[in-house]
Amino acid sequence: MKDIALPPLRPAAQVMRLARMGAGFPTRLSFLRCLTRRLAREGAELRRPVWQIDAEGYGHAVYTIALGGHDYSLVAVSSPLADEDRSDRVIATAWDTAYVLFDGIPGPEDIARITANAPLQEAGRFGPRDLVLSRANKSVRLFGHIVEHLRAGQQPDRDQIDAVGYLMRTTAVYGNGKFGIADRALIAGRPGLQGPFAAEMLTVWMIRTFTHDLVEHLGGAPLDPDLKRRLGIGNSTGLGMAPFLVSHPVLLNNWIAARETALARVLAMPDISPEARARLHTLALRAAQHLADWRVPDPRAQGEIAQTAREWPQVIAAVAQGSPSQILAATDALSVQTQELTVALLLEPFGEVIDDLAETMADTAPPTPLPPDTVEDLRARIAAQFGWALALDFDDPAHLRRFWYVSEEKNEPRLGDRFAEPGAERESPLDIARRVQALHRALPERGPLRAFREAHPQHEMALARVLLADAHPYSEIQDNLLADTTRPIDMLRCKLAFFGATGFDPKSDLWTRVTLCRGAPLPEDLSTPLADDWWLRASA
Amino acid sequence: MRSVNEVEVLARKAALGAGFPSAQADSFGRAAAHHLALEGDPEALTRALDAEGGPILRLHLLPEDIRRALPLAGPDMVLSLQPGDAALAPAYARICGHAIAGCHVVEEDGIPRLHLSIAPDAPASSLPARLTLQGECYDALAALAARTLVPASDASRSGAGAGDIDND
Repeated sequence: MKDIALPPLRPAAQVMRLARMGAGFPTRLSFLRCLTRRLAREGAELRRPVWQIDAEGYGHAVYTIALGGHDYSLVAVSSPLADEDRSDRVIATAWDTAYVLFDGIPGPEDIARITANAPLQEAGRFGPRDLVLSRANKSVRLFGHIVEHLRAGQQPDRDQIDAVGYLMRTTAVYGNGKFGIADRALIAGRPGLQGPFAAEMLTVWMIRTFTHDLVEHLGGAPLDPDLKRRLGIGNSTGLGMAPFLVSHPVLLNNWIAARETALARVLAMPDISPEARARLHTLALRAAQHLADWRVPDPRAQGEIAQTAREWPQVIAAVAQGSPSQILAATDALSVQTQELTVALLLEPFGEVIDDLAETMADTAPPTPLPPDTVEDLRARIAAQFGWALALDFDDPAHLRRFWYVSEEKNEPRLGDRFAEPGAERESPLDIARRVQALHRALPERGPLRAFREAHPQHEMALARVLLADAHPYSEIQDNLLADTTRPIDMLRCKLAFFGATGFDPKSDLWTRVTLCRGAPLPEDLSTPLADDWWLRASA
Repeated sequence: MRSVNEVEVLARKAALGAGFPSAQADSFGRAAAHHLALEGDPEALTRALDAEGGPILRLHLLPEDIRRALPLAGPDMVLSLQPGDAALAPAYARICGHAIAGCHVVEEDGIPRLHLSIAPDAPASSLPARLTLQGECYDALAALAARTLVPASDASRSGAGAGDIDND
């Protein structure tokens, strides 16, 4: 397949716009899918060697799994929490449960250390064998509902499970050296953990099992496996996640490039087999059910979901007879969200053609390309790659109103109003378009670039972004992140879709709830076909 | 003991807080981790942050100079440094993207010179799992880093995340 000439990839000017990034869906290249495929391929088995949970549901448990020749253990800690202390805000200081993914099998001293520190989260201290730190709060209504029913010898109501979709929601999943945990570089070369956020995804999948076990422990009876599969892990994600896409341009490029290359490979197929067409049809019907079940309070988001649901029958009709390129072309006049759902649909049946691209999604930290020798050369590169940035009018206050900063209160990213709030002088460097435009304006017409750089060191960051863009066409969000119309929620959805999240439920332009692992295989499913057949499988 | 990421992020923010541009602050953060891994004098970091127009601006270009010199000079090269850059130059050399087989600074005719031996085909220089950064140096970096933080306002808090209580 890779020897066949591919059609051109969709251009960055199309796919790197925020409105499209904010319409993304999980695909079979999403990180959770990559993880469960790997676990299934290796025949991984999740064990629970420690269960020290009391009758009230408090205590600790340890789960261990082998992946890529290494053992990893989740240490889960469950603690009492007053209702008035249960907050999803990053400023919270206590949680129902706390977790550490440990490198290896923890001994009693490790467990004692982790159970003392994990509930403290940011205020705790961790070591190089602690790979991921996380915490989660109960969905009190659903958790109580399921416990009550199990205690009464009944299974809980499926509609109530589908309406929420998780027993607990995480409010942070920390990796890469935060609070003393292991640096990503220490594990980035390990089989099974090379992919982006692989350790974090493994942690979330194991936390999900803990939530199932905890509710069964308190209910005193097993939960129906089909209902368990419908329960993922909720997640509240706010502004803290948004700057990542700007500060990791190579990673962003590699994620998008993998998806776009996968799409191009599928679109290169002149026709598809009857089996593949039948599979596409089945998946398209599954997506229709997903859209029907996906209800959110936000009027704008619900309107977009309803529009996609109305348009989806046209996609189903195209699936019945067209080639992949004809199916995608049938969405040309439809909404962006319908187009992106169709992209995800088209990738799903063709794992043998595209799954190898998952190995290209990490950032292997190539050095920044060397700058050109002359100003003229740099000018040409800026014009070629950043025409969209040069066209922005930063003299218009509306295009400059927002500024990104880090709050003193919690060391977390925030978004302010430049003309109404203090702090713009401490703005975080996420204003790539403005910086590239400033570089372009400052450049002389011609001459040696080095002399300009030494005289104007403030433009080095913009220079680096221009140099990166040559080889990484999807490295920049091609929108003005300072504009008063910018919706950070679009950045969050892009990233979360690559994680594999579903059920986007925006609570404002600044934060969203989602579900991870919904429909994902249970540990006992890893040896079955369910292991890699969970695209939009459960309701939204 | 701290993770590499903790050191890099703190040093980068300290450089931003001291007023250095973003790209130079990034380079300083990465070089600071290598400097501590080489058991360099921590005070060299705080001295650099105090020196306006000093090593943080100049040494940002050193990794690029090394990469440009490699095809011309071969793996063994000597680069002249500015006075004041000697202490951190070996650390900046280690972020050039190549493995460093040998690196030391020698003062010759009153000019510090970086003697460098590169292993072109080897993986780039790696760092240990833990670094030591404490005492006055840590406090100085933390104080500078704090200058990048903005006191949160009621406006910024509202809408930055979930509601204060989430019992649904």
